[in-house]
Amino acid sequence: MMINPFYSRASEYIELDDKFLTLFSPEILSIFNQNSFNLWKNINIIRSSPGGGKTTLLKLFTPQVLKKLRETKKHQDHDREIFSCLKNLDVYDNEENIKVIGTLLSFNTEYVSIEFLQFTESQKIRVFFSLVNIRIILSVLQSIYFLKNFTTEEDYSRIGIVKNNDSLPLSIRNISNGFDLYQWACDQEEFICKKIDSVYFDNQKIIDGTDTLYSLDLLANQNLTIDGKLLNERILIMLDDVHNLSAFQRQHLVSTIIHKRPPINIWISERLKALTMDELFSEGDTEGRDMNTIYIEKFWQKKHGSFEKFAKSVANRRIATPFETRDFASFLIEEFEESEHKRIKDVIETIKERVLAEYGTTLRYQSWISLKEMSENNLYTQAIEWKALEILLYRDKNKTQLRLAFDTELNEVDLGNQEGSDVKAAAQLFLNKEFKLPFYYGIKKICRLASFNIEQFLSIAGHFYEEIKNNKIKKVVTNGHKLEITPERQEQIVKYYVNKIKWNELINKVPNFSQIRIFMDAIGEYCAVETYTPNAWNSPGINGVAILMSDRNLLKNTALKDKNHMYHSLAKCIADCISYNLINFDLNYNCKNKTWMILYLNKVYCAKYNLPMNNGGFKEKTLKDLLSWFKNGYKAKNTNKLIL
Amino acid sequence: MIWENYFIKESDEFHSFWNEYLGKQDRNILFIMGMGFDPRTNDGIKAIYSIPSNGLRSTTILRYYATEEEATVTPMPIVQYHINSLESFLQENELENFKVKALVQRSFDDKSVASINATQLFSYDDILAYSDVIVDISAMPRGVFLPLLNKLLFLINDWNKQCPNIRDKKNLHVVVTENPTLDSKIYDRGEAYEANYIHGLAIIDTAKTRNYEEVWITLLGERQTKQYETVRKNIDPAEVCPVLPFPSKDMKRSDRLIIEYQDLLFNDESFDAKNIIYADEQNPFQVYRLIYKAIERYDKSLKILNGCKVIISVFSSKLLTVGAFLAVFESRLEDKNVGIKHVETLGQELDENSKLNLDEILASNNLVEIWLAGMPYE
Repeated sequence: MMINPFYSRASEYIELDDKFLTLFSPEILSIFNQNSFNLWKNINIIRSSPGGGKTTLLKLFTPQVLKKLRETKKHQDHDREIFSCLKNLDVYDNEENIKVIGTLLSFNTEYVSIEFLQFTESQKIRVFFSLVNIRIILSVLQSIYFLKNFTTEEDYSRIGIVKNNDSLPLSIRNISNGFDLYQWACDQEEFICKKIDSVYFDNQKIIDGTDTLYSLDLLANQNLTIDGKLLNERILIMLDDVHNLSAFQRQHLVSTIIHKRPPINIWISERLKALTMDELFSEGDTEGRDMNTIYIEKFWQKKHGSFEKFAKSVANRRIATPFETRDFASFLIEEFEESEHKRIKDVIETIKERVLAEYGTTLRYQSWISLKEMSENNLYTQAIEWKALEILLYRDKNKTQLRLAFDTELNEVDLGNQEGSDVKAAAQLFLNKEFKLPFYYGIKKICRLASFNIEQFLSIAGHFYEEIKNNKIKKVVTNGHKLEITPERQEQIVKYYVNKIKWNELINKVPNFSQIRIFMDAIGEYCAVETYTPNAWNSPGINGVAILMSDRNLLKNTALKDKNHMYHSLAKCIADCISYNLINFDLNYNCKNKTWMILYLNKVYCAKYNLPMNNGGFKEKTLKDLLSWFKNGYKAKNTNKLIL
Repeated sequence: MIWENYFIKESDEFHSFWNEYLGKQDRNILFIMGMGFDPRTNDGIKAIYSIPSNGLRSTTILRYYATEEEATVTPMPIVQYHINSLESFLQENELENFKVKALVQRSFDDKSVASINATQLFSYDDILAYSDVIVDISAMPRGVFLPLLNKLLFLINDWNKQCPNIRDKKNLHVVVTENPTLDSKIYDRGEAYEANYIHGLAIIDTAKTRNYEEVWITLLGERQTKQYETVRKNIDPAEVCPVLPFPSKDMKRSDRLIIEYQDLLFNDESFDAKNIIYADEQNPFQVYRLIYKAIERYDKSLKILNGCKVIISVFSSKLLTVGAFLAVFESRLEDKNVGIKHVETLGQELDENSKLNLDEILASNNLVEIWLAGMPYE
């Protein structure tokens, strides 16, 4: 049985450290290589949509993986590359010693229960902090255990605690070694967890609590010794899945950490949905004196090429299990098969006839038409060229009618100037819409569809892999059946994925999706109308709308906070779209002497509405327009729109 | 095993049992039921409260709201119809009107609170006056009736332990109106994004148990692949053991389920076809026995690797859910690391087309009585 390697566990769940390393793609580490970025500032906050790769990234910094990497890099080029990246990040020193004791602490939904027990607000935080402190202590001690090659629990006694202070709970003020601390923390953890899960709520009132994150001082490397010597390594606490906490707990935890300026490194990782509505409308990368904030998708958004390289690398690592010698892209055919030639020839003929009938007798266009007639490019390229020509002629004719200048013949240079890649891309989309020639195929476009989210990419790639698997079975029965997927079939798979899988997922996943759907459909349908104008005025098309930054401020600062505000529901809908990764946004975009917030559809939904996947194509709208879409959907005007 | 010898009555036996039980002596009954759109909502209470008897007859209905805001909205017409119908029935029979307990499923910041709120619904004070507590789960979602039954079983077992006189012991009954055809016409409107342990049925994940191997026993049901996937992504089991309904009224049901779940099962390295457990779709106590034994075996064999955690997820019928719950309840009493992980359904609705022949579908309703605690087990 061939297991689909794209559907198998996300790499964060892979228990075996060598398999984790095999599937890890070092390109993601480039998020730490941005200008003026200091990885070892005390606090890093890493945010993304689900599947952005946060946990995988954090897991790399755990001692088990770092130790394994130090071994495997001797005989694996791939691992050597990761090692070298980490060495540059100061994770290993020149002697290849590990300089970081990283510990990954995931917040599951268990913590939320505390919020709903019969406690006062301050008691809730005290119990919550109590559990967080204990879990941090246990997690750091266990990481030291792995890094220092301890073999039994008794080895914890090799850890010494230099000084205790008054902020600690009474019961551990006299503890001076790791073993006693470990035992104390284990007992406390079990006691608290059992109380929290108890069906008898009166029992829970006896839990001791604390107001401070004392563990961050207790575990500073200056406060810990191993065999009597001060700990050299930097302590790194990675708090993962912070979005699982209640809003109150998250806000309290993050603000306490930031205000505390702890003497150890803390990374906080969370999904966008954890952000408040207000934060969702705010700028991506923010920095403070002791803090960096990284938005993974926003980082990739600025580096299309790097994401493509990263996605390909991830796919190749996955597909190497069943197909050792091939890369993933080689299964996605980019050329049309011979069986399609007749169809494409018919397309060319149809467009050519239209062009000749409309423009063939006009002297001004003779050279352009002759150039296309002489083209020796492959058939699909010729089809694109003819469609691009039709677009350009349409544009020119309408401009010329205004100028009344039909007598000047256009030459090859004029054509070259006007027939840019944007017009050709628009032509491809038009061919797709009119003649059903595929558009969404090939590795580049598949990477784009992922909208800079690696899980989304793996999910699409998984569907392609299923097809490859089917082809493999068919090949057994029919000799000569290809494993590779034709462009047409690729597009069918993409459409099926978007319309059936992804869209149905949203129905179940996103609260109030029926309302959000109306808004998404409105944006999609509006962009399609603007994209498929005969003159392709904004070639290759648009996939977003923009609102003035002043309107964005109104939504963020007023409408969101006032339930009775006329734009409250609209603001909430936009925030939900951002939080569930249905919409990506750019702030402070300058255009027409104004600054804008652009709302782009997530690329995967561009395929639903037959839109291009480039960034930059948008049209300005007012809040009034968007509110009308949100309430009633978009209603296209029947006029044949033309923009010169 | 607590429920090795069990008590279950269905169809005609359901009615004759209740006639006999209530006819013999006065029983003071607290009837707890969900109030929703499900056409079976009032069947159980009408069947039992129609039997003449002199004891107390109290009724508590649970109203579910996705959020606190929803609690202020007028109920759907079908829900209001069921409320009115129950009100008239109680009046006609000169019975005290029902009390309402509200149950909010999601917090303001969209966290699941259904199970913790359901656990808080009843305390000793609420059941003291009654000899029999009947929970009708026909119109209750899993995320509500599992924590509720868990709490009531604790309350009643603890009461019975310190009660010397068998006549004063309290009884817990579960009533469910089974109708697989109707079940297949009810669709989820949306489920929560995350998988959570049911409050009171969580596995305590501590430093000492964190590296224990996980085993996932999952009862498969139709149209629940998304929920299945959500739980699967949340755990890391060494073994996946699907439970399929066989024997079943529709003999091909298991095959169809395997086809429905094929991508998820056969692409999972932790799944082995040898791990499939087959359980009678009509008998919750067989599911209980099979799951209880499976937990026992895994617990024993994985002891050499320090220990194991057995996670149960139920995507199947209410009857089988009750069986799985009993296995978990008993295993937890024996200090095994067992819990129920669940993906909450935020709303359900009846297929529009099925409303046309609803009477025909409802004709095959089958009332089932499961006696969980009290006299038969003392």
